[in-house]
Amino acid sequence: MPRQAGAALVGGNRLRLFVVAYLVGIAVAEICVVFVNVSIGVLAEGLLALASINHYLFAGRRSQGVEGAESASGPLAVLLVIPLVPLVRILSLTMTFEDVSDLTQYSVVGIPLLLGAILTGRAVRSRHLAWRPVDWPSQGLIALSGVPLGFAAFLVARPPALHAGWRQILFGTLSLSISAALTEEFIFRGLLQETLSRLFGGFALLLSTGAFAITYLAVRPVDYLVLIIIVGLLFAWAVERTGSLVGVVLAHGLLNVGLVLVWPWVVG
Amino acid sequence: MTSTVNELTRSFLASTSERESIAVDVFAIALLFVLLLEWELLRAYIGQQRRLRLDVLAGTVVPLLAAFAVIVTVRATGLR
Repeated sequence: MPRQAGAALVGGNRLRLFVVAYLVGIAVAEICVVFVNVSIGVLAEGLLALASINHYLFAGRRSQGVEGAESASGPLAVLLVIPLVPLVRILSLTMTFEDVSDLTQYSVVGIPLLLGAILTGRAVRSRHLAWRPVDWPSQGLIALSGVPLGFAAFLVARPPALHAGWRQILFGTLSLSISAALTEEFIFRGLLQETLSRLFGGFALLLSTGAFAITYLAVRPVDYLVLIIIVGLLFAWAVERTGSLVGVVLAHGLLNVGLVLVWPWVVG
Repeated sequence: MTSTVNELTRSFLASTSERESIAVDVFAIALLFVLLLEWELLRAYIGQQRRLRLDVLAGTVVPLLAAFAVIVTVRATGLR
């Protein structure tokens, strides 16, 4: 392909346009999965993931002569992170099976996804994978927001109480905190928001929250989706302001544990 | 109640036809196959450009390998 064509895939505004197109395409595919046809939607999500990766491989080499070191830490990195969003759906539909509790399913799907996110984080040199001191007072306050948010989520969704032994509750707590909360926060706030902000600045908050919300399209009742959008925006803003994922991961974990394990048991 | 396990996955397991379930599994495996093929092509290309990095594909390939293992296990044991 001529050099001009390669440059067309990389130039700032064109890259922004492509990134928005990939995200809109994923949103349409997700709507197709939930409301129209699962297999067609999954096929579309897979093709979009493939397109994004190949866009990175091609444009990275064309723009800088060397694929890898420079492009992975630059604006093109978002093209490696976008495929994680379709992967959420592909893995959730291929790795779940009957006769297994939801608490186990969270781990079966969440752990490979987390591993993929960590590998992608290393490739794009995410700052969230580097060790930094934690500002515990502010992160602690952010984490505590998970308690009222969990209660609000319970009031909206009203899931039934689980009649489980202490071992299942312990496993459920770990599963909901690590496999669900850590994985989602690392993908959407850690990687997607960070790499989108290299291209879109503050607008990245809205885009990453939109991508986060679209993966919740299937949850019922629909009011819960509104809560998810509010939670997504709050968490995105907290990460933007503090530069740390610690508080939002803990808050998301408390929200999940409160919603599924604690509040249904306490309130009934 | 998460993005990974929600009403969609439950209804997919409970009511989806065998044909659609197989189609989703086939699409996931096909995506893995294409990425592994690209990985090998890039590995060959590395001989010419040593600075090319393969780990950019690992973040997508590794979860799909896990999905492949689960699909094969679940199909072989009749869990789905």
